Amino acid sequence: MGFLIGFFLRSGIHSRRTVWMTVLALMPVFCGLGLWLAKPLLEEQGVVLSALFPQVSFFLFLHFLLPILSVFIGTAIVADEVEDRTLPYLLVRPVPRRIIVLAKTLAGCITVGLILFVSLGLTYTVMVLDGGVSGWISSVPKLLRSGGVLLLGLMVYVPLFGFLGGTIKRPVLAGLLFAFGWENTVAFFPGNVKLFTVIHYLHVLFPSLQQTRAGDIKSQLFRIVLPARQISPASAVLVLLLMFAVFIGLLAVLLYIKEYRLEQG
Amino acid sequence: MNIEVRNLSKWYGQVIGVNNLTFTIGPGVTGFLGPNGAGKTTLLRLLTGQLKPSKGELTIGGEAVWSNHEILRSVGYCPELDAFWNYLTGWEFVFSLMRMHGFSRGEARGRTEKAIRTMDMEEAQGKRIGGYSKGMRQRIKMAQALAHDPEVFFLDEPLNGMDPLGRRSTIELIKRWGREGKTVVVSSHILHEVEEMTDTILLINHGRLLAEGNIYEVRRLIDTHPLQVTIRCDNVNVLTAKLLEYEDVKSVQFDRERNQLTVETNRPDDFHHRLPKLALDNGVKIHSLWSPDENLEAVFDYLVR
Repeated sequence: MGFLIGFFLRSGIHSRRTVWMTVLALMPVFCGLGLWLAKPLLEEQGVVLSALFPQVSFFLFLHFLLPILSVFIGTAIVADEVEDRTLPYLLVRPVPRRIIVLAKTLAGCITVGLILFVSLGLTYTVMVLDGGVSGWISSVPKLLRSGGVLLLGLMVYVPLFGFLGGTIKRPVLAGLLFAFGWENTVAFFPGNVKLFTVIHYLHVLFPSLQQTRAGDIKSQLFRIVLPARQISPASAVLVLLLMFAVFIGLLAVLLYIKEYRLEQG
Repeated sequence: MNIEVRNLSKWYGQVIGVNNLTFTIGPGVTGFLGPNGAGKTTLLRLLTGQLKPSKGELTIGGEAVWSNHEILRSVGYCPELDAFWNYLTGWEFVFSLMRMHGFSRGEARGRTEKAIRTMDMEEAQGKRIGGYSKGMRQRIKMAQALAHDPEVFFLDEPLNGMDPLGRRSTIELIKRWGREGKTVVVSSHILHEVEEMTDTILLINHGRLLAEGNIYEVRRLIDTHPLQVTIRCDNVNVLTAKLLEYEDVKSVQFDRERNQLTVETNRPDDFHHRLPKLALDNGVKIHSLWSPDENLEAVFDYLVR
């Protein structure tokens, strides 16, 4: 299992997909740099640059990069090996297919997780370091918590989109529709329907929202997304882990029963 | 180790991949012979557990193959697909697959080195597979198939793209495995390739088993199959006139502009034997000679008629 994860990690590093995912993930860093350059203008408006970091991390990381990168890495879990026609080498080894799926999923999560962590760290540094090293250090636990929430999100989204990738045609399109249609829309609906989204449970855990709840950020938009029904962070973690188990199970079953016809020659 | 196949069928929707096959393969080398698209690769994928049978049974050493990953410890598979993780070196490719096979790092290293030596790939083992020639890629595929010393081999077009030296040594290796009592199944669409490795064949076409047994029987059928031979020479008229004197020559079509004629004969062996003398005696210089239908597809069409 450990070897397989390492093998797929290396495979991921050599993939062109990883390169442009990294480029995409650097977007918030450039956004942060842009805001840093515009700092005098912001200060004229009474806005502190470091106070904008929660919004940037919330919208760009949780609501944009996390789902989009999950769609691209998740739908490629099996598709990569099918398209590259390397699947037969894996399927004729005495390794249960569920182990292959699990290893590839974890490798995908680690790859995207690292990309997101690096980008999150750089964005944080660009936006918060200006306030001094002590301010930077004092907010590190929040940064780590944000990273942890993103990792939990990856663990749910990647196998979910992996399952979509193995079951339907045009999985990327379907994944994007799900991520930006269902998840990003329903999560902002009032009432309990948002309980059927993944992002709702990530909202419960994401530090910037907790700040909102405490009144640190005066954004009405953040208030809208507060859970209709209060869920404890522990319950949210539990639900997310349960979702991970269900989706990884579905993906393993899929590879167990599904045959992949590779073109010859 | 025996391979038992009973009433095996595989279809994809309306398309039949293999159709009601029943056969037993024992130790030694067996050739799956059939034209491209005959169903050989589908059959090999069924035999290696990559595909699930739609109907029927197949076992290796008495054990079902589908969803039984343990049986794959005894199986070596060389796929026809020319596909790799191109960023890996040849050594890393074989080593990685041995690690996936469950061998410890040290054991995998030893097996990799031995397999690479067997396939004469030591010089290129440190280069990335992406930069390999077709023949080298074929040899490294063979190395991963043999590295774990399996009891059963499934080799899909193993000589594809190999240079004459590589072909010769691979043929010898396959024959040696057969002599050692391993069960080796070699799929090919080229008759003489299979002929060099074994005399036991299964003839497959359109997913059906046409014949099972001795290759010489097939060869006999092929030798009576009317064959077209196209000859380019410097005197079409003389050669045409002389060829028509023979009973086995059914027809001759000639094209004066290109200086070529196409002969249809129902005794190809006699024809090929006679032609050089005929040309020599009549002062005809033959520039080239080929048989447009001397391939398995034409032969199989003939056999199924």
